[in-house]
Amino acid sequence: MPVPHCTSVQELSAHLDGELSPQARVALEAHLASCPACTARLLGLRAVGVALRRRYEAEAEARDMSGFTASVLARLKPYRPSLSERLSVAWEEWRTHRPGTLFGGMGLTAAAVLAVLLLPQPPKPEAVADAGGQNPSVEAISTDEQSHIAPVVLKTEGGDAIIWLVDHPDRPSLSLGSDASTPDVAPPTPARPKGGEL
Amino acid sequence: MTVRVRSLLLAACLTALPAVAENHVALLAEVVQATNDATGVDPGLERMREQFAKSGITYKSYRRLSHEQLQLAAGKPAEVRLPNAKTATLTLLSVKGSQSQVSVSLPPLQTTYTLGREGSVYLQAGPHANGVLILVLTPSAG
Repeated sequence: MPVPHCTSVQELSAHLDGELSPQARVALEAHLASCPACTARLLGLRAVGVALRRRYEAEAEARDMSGFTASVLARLKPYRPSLSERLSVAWEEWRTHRPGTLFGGMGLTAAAVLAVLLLPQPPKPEAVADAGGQNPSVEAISTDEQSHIAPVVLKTEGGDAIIWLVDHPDRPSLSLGSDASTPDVAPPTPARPKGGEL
Repeated sequence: MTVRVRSLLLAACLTALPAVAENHVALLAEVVQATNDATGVDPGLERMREQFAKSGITYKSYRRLSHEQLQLAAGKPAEVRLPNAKTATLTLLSVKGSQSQVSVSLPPLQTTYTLGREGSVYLQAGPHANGVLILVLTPSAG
């Protein structure tokens, strides 16, 4: 038959954890001073507590906790508000703190869009290419070897082609006519043209 | 010859007709005399004078001596007789869409051009009466 104790395990455990009120602590310590059984139980509980704490501390030290922080942080998902939420917040911030900048910027943007829409558009590349293909081009050109003259191909600004004959530099000079037939300003004499150079 | 074969031949001929019809091109051939012995530019030649001047060729006078509308057909050369006794021979080589390839023989010059719908080709055609002849070839609607 178990011997009844003066104090309960809960009361002794609370005393070990410092959870008793000052009055209850004074009364318990007065009792322990005169009760060897309760003192023995209190020492027993303290020994069990110390043993448990050392055991769990040893287990904790045996575990590799070096990556614990990193693994926890890696599992955290940063909160990213939705686009509408971000726009709403940005709108409120600009409207509250920078209304001049906000509405001025909107006005400039609207003016720029209008300017782009109303300004005359440059010709499309296809149209330019088509117009270029409609002008004449020289595919091949030659003169007789005995003619003493060589052709010069000139392209005008309007896309026309001028084929002019000049004295061949390697041959005896050949007059193309009298003085009146010679232009006032001699045409440029580029290198002998090749077919399709225009 | 069976009816089936004749039908096939007729269909082939009808298919080839448009290609034959496309193998021609209309050109305006003008003969212009440029000289420094006179002054004056004939109507319609102001642009020519301007283009020549910008290219470094300057004459005081541009006179149109003749103009002729040519219908060039593939394989059928056309001739343009010049006042200086020279003859230009034009031959249509091919037609691709709006572009045609034309060869011009104007001794001692031999040239081949690709002509579109716009622009002109000016060929110096030799001296003539204190000036120089210029053969102007311009695509026309025909």
